[in-house]
Amino acid sequence: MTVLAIVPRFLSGSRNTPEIDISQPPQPEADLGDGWPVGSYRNTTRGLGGAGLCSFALTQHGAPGSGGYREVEGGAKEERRMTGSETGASLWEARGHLPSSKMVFTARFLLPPPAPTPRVSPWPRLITLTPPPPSSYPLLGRAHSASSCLLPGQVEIGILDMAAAATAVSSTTKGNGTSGRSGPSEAGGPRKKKGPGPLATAYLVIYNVVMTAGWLVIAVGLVRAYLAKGSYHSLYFSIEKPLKFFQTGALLEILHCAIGIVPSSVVLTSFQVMSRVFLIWAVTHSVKEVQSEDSVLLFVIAWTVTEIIRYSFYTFSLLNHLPYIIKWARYTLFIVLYPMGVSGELLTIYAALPFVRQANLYSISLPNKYNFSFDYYAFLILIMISYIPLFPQLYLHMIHQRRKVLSHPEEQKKYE
Amino acid sequence: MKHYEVEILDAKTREKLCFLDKVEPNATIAEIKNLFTKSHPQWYAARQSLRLDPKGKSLKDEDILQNLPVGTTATLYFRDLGAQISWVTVFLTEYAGPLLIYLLFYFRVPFIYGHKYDFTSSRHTVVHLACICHSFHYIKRLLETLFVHRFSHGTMPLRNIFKNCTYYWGFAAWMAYYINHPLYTPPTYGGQQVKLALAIFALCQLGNFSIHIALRNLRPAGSKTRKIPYPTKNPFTWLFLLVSCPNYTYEVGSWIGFAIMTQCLPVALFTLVGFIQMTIWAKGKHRSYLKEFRDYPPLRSPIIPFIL
Repeated sequence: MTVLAIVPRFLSGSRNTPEIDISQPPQPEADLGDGWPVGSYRNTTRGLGGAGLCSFALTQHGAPGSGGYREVEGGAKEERRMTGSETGASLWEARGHLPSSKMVFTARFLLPPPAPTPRVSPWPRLITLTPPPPSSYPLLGRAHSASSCLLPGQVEIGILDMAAAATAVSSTTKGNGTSGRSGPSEAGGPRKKKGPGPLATAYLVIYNVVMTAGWLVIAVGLVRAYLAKGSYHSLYFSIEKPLKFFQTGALLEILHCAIGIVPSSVVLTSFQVMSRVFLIWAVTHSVKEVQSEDSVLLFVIAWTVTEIIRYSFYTFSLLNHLPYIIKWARYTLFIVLYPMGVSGELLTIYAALPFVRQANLYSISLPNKYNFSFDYYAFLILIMISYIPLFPQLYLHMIHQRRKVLSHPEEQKKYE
Repeated sequence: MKHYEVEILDAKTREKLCFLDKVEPNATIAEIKNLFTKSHPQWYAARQSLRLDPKGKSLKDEDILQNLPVGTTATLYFRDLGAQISWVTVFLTEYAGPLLIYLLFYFRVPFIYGHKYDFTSSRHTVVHLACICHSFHYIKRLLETLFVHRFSHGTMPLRNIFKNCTYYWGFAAWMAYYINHPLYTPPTYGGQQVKLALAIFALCQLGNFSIHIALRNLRPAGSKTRKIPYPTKNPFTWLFLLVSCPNYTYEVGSWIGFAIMTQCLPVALFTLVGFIQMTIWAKGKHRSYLKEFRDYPPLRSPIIPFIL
């Protein structure tokens, strides 16, 4: 009889592996940092991606050909029949066949994690840590996700809800139960040991609501200015202040990642937020002559629509009620908005160049006391050139994420 | 004596890659890796990672088969670490670069500065001194790589050489450009500043070298033992009383000295970035010392006494 147990399981190094392999191998490495052992189920579209937001395991007991092995709950000393040998507490992986297209699963949080692993200090988030003498160097060139900060580790569970999962869990976990975590508020900080606590979740909801509102203000401001003026030229001036305020406010997202209430990479988020802030302050604000360019409107509109959708996406996800339309919008509209935004940005920088040269803006030349020079003009050109390798990578990554997220309604997960 | 059988599966696809029978119980993982290479010659031993669980930690080369928690038929999971390159090669390349690049700028090779400056020489003493210091530093590093250091790991992933060389060579070029520029401005406080900075630099170089020698002496040739380093008779090693990684401390000190000597902002930025990276390494090392040794001296900080 096949019993589906939907709990993270500990699996020993069984030798009967080949007979019960799942269709896709588990992800190579995904320490999600929440104290749970690593391992996740990968669906046919190549798995959960770097976030590994939702993980689960199935076991089969007594199924023909399964070899009759049984996984053991992580950390708990359960009885087990193992054909391989036990290697230690901290490893498990998903096994078993999917009995049907609907899968019952639960996020990792539903059981208390096994023995806590030492919390890694914030330092290694910034730069890779290797045994001395070092081989890895900071930051260079790892392209990751396109969109910014992940929502605070909430898992979207489509058809299967927590209740079903929870029942299954409690029926199979002997007394470990669901005591460790309760309910969706702690759902899935899959990367974090604890997930954002209720206070952090509340704060993040407020933050995201405020940001959604802010960008809506900008959107409304644009529309009103257009209607009042009758033309779409020079609309920047009517939304200049809220734009600066709310885009700069996004710097807080870096802080969120740094303190860990959002499971996203600090480096990545910094990169994304700083590029926006750079465009607002170091280009548009600094070079007054470009403020009346149409390219500014191009990227402002792109950003406004994107941010409204993104922040409402996060808000709803935190509250565990994500309407499909928002998810669809987030993962579809970028197809148009992203190139639009990039074009607007590039055109604006290009328009700013002659004025930068003329005024020698932000540039220092030799000789000077600190033997340093900086040519802002050359710097801007370098920035423009850097779009060439970066944009296709990020764009393709988003397309890839879209395929994963939107085509499996029964396994909806959050992706970076 | 009962022989073991070893089955090696791919960690990702669970495909059976190799089956070794008649393996000695006291065979080490290194030997198993060599046997595996025979059937898959493209995976030389350095790029193999064998583990008991597909998601587990890599087994060490010195681990002995019979001491592992396996039955008489052991299943090991293999992961390809990718093309590997030896540490020594990487170090030599990444240090030879700055040495040569700095000299290109020092001798004002054509196409760097204006044509009227080709092959001219700076009229500031400090520029010549800086060249000597910088070159000495990298020659010292090259010699240490060849004769002093004892590496725990033989190899690292190939892509690291590109990252590391970009970092070292890029910064060396950037610094050298300004120091050897025809419009270079010598330090504000003149000879005094240079002399002080030179003293700091020289002391820290000596200190760094002493620490490297002390660390080398902790470990017999060819072994990978790890011991707690302690101060020796050499006064420079007395920093071990306060710091886990005094070699990094002295290294930062040398670069601070160099920055003061040249009064050049790019040098200061290079020092800062290096300091950040070395602090991370020092913290990691400090943590591993604490984990590994129960009696680790509690007074020590990772890199800066009492502070960091």
